[in-house]
Amino acid sequence: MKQVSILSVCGSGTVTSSTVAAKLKERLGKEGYQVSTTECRPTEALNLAQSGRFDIIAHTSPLQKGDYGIPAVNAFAVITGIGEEKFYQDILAALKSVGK
Amino acid sequence: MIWEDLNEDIIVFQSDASTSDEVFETLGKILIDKGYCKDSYVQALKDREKEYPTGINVGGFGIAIPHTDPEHVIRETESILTLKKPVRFTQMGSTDIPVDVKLVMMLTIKDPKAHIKKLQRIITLVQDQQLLKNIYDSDSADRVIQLIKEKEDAIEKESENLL
Repeated sequence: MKQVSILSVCGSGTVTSSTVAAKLKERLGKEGYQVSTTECRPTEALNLAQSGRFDIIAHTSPLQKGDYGIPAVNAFAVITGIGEEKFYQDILAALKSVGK
Repeated sequence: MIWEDLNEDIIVFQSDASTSDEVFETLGKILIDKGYCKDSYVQALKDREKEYPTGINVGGFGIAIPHTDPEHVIRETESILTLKKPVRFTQMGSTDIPVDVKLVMMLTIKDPKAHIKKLQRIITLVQDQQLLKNIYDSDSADRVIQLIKEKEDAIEKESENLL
C-alpha cells in the first residue's frame, strides 16, 4: 500500500470536502493507495499545504493566491458526478507527479 | 436518513423569491422559527454564499445547497424550497459561472464528521437529475418525502449488494 495524504478544501471546510475525502479514500483504495485526508477551508489551505504534510490538494472552492508547493486538482466533478472518472485520473496523475 | 429529517414545515413550494438573499431569508426564517438555527443564520448564509457559492448545474438542472458554519446551527436538518422562477446563483468552486437555480436544499450542519454518510447521500441525491425534476414537480411535502425515501432505499440496497 502506498500511503498518501490529501488536503481536501471547500468553503465551509465541512460539507463538500468531507464528501470528496470519503470518495477519494474509496476510489484510491482500489488503486492500492492508503489515503489519509484533512478537511479545511480555503483560508487555512496555504499554511497546511506548506506544512509539508500533504502530497496533493483536492478543492471544491477556489484557492486563494499563493505558492502551495504541491499539485491542486479541482474536485467539483465529484459533486455533480459529471466527469468524476476524469477527476480521479487527474488525481492519480497528480500523485504520480509527486512520486507516489 | 434525510427523508426522516424532512417535514411539511421545512418544505416550501413555488416560492416567489427572486434573489439568493430572498431565498435565504424565506427558508432561513422558517428554520430559525422552528428552532433549527440561531438568529445569526441568515446573515451567515448571505456572507458565505458571496465567498463560497453553492450553485450546482446538474446536466442543465440548477440546484443550490446553501449551508454555513456550525456555530449558527442548533439542530441538524435538510430543508427544501422550489422556486416559481429560477434564481441566479454562482456555481460552486467558481467565482463567476452563473447557475439558474430552481430547487434549493438548505442544510443545517452541526457535526460534519459524525454525518459524513448523510452528506455523501445528499451529494448522491443532488446528482440524480430525474429525482430533482420530480421533486420540483411535486406539490405536496408527503410526495417529496416519499421520493427521497425511495431514492435513499435504493442507495441503501445498492450499498448492501456491494458488500
